[in-house]
Amino acid sequence: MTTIKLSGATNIGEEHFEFSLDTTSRKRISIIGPNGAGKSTLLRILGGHQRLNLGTLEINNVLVDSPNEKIFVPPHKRPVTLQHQDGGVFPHLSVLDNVAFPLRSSTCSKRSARKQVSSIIDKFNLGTICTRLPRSLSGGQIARVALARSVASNPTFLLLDEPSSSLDVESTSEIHNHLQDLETTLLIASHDPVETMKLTDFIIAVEAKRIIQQGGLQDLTSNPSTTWISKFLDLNLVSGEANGYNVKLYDGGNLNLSGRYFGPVQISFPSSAISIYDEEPSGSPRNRWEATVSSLDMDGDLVRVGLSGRFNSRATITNISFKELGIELGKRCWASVKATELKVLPSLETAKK
Amino acid sequence: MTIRTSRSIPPLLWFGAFISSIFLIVPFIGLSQRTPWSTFIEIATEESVLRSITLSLIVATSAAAICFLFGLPLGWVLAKSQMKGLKILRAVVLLPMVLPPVAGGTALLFALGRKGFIGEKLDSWFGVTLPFTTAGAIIAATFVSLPFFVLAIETAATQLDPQFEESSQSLGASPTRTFFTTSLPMTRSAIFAGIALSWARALGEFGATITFAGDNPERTRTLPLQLFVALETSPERAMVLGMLMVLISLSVLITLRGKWIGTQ
Amino acid sequence: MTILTDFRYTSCLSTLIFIFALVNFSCGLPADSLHVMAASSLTEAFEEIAEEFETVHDIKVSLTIAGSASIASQLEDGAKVDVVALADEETMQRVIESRELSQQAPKIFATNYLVLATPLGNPSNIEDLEDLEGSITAICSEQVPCGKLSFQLALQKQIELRPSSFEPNVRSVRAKIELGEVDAGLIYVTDVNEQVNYIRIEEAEEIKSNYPIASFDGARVEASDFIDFVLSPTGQKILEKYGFGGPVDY
Repeated sequence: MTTIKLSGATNIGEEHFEFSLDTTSRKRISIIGPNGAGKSTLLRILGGHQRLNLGTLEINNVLVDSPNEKIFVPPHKRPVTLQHQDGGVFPHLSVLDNVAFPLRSSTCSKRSARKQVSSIIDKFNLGTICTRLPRSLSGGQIARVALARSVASNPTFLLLDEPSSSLDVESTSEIHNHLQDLETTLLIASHDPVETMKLTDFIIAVEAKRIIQQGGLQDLTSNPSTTWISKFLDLNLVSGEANGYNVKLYDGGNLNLSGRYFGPVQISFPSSAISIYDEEPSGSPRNRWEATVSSLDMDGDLVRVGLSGRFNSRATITNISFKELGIELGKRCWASVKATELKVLPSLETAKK
Repeated sequence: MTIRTSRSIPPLLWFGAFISSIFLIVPFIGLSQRTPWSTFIEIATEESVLRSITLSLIVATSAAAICFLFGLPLGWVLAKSQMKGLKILRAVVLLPMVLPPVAGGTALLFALGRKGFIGEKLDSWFGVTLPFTTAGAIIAATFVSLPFFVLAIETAATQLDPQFEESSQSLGASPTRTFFTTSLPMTRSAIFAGIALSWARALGEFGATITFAGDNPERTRTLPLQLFVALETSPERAMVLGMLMVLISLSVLITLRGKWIGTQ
Repeated sequence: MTILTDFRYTSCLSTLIFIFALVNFSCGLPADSLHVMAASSLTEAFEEIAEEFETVHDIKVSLTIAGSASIASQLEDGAKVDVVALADEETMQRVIESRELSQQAPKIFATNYLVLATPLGNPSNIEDLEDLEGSITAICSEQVPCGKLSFQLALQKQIELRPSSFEPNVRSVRAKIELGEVDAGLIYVTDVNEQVNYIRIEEAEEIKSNYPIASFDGARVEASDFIDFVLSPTGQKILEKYGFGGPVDY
């Protein structure tokens, strides 16, 4: 069981950060929050690049930072690897030597380090570029090298600072596939709701240099404590097998797409894109399905409606239409979404075609 | 990799660049015009001149090596440490750059001369005296060229993106290992630039050398000192020696620049 | 168009500044002054003479002090000067030949000789030139008059001088002695001060160094007044005060 327990504060210049979190038994963790809220600072505290001024940090029940007791375990002795936003791939080392770097650091000879990482090189599909220097690589390749190198360091916790921030759609889903396969505990600072919902099930929301809410993905989506969180998580995510303009969802049901795709895909659309009807609608929206109201949340003039059916989804409607439709828990209704509102994310295999 | 193009340079800069390059080149045209090329080889291969060339190369290379060994840590500490008092140290490091070299040589005498407060101990404990020795010339040259090296390193270390050092440590490398496997290789062009600069400065060093190490034909008469003597006895020799220094420096700087400096 | 006018304006301006700077700073010497160049051993004596001269004559004296050899090199390269006072005749001859300008033969206005100087207390017990063997010494470089004189003396005494350092002028020999960096050195008697001990050497007093003074064609009319002043009793008294001997042949 992997655990990080943090309760402490730090200052960077004039800025004061205060964090308190507990990740007991969670292996897929997101850190979300607006720009400058303190996501990176939180990761840097965990990684040991930023010291606490006050409080304690425990990793796997070992005290690693406690200014009161004058305890500080330096980054290289923590079971944690922090991967920077741009990957931090060393420009002076070849791809192979970058990936072998963590093994070389643990007093391993150059040859045996290179040998030991060969399986990782294969896994991340770096074999053909392993002698090249980073400056000749594309952004997607760099991201793969960075992740392969982090994996080679075999950390208990892998901390990733916005791993897909500068990547195109295809490279992003490639990295996401790799991340999904990893055994290690992940903490991902992310600005991308799809990434958050796809990869993680526990969310730490940071705002104004403190942790504002933490909990399971479901908790936060149904009970967001701030408007920023609710807006960020206001997204439906479904996956299925695409075949041309149609995708067959794994949970059941079909959706029509506005473009042609093949193979496994992920589809996201905002909750506001869903319209709710009393009866089966006729006319343009071809994506319609029957659903049951499973939850209701009032939020000012808006109401968030949880829908269960062939696949689960959430809709946001105005208070007025909520009253007009007479929606209540357990009510049967029809939902629809326009094909143009669907954002399709190809998975790796799809991207290759 | 970016490819340098000249199209994006505003005309105003071309004008300024033209003026300053003329300003830099004209004196050397003057020198080469007056250089008696017919006797150039003859003078340049005289025994005393050859000795000066050898001595100059030994002094400059040793000075650059000392700069590398001790200036590198200093530049690094200045760039990275937050310790109090470093502000003053930073100013002191630059002193040899702004002081007239003769003043630097005098200061060296007060410290390391036979009656200097450290030199006295060196003499009485170890029987070592530095003035009038090649070691003294190397010390004088190091004193004036060290700031150039330290400055180059400090700038490079400050500009080095911390994400690389942090990544290295995060991946399990100790701070020492990080320094040697990440920081040093990533600043190597600045290090080479620093070596070239301090080497060049040491090669041309005159004032501190003649003040601290004196003018001894066997041990301390480097090319600039030889040139100084010649200036007052035989202008013809002086021009040959001047040209010789220009050629030696230029060939080394061009080689180093092309290979290491400026281009990553 | 704005870029073009801007460019022209700036280039004109910078050229003007450039030229202005050159013109302004190249004429460092005040136009209405008498320019005198003197050997470094004459520093204090000539400063006083110049001061006295200014009280009697209505002209400012601008004094440049340098090693005799440096002065000679500058003059050969065409430096402007009204009066030149050097520490040896040979160097003066070199100047005269290169300029071919002297109106009249240079006049000897003072004499000087070498002494053996040691740091205060004479820690290495140097008594005579013979004792210099194996000790750390400094003498003037051979191209300056005091250096030539030193070698002449060594020849006379039949000893070989192997100094640790050839200093560019007599004052830096003295500095090395004052600082205790050398055990002994040869300096002019006029350069002896309270910071050094000195030992007179009989032979050295016989090989005197003659100090010539001269003016050149194109010099200001006051140049000959200055030379006369140096040779006058007032000038001679000042020189005597600083240890110079009177002209032998005059």
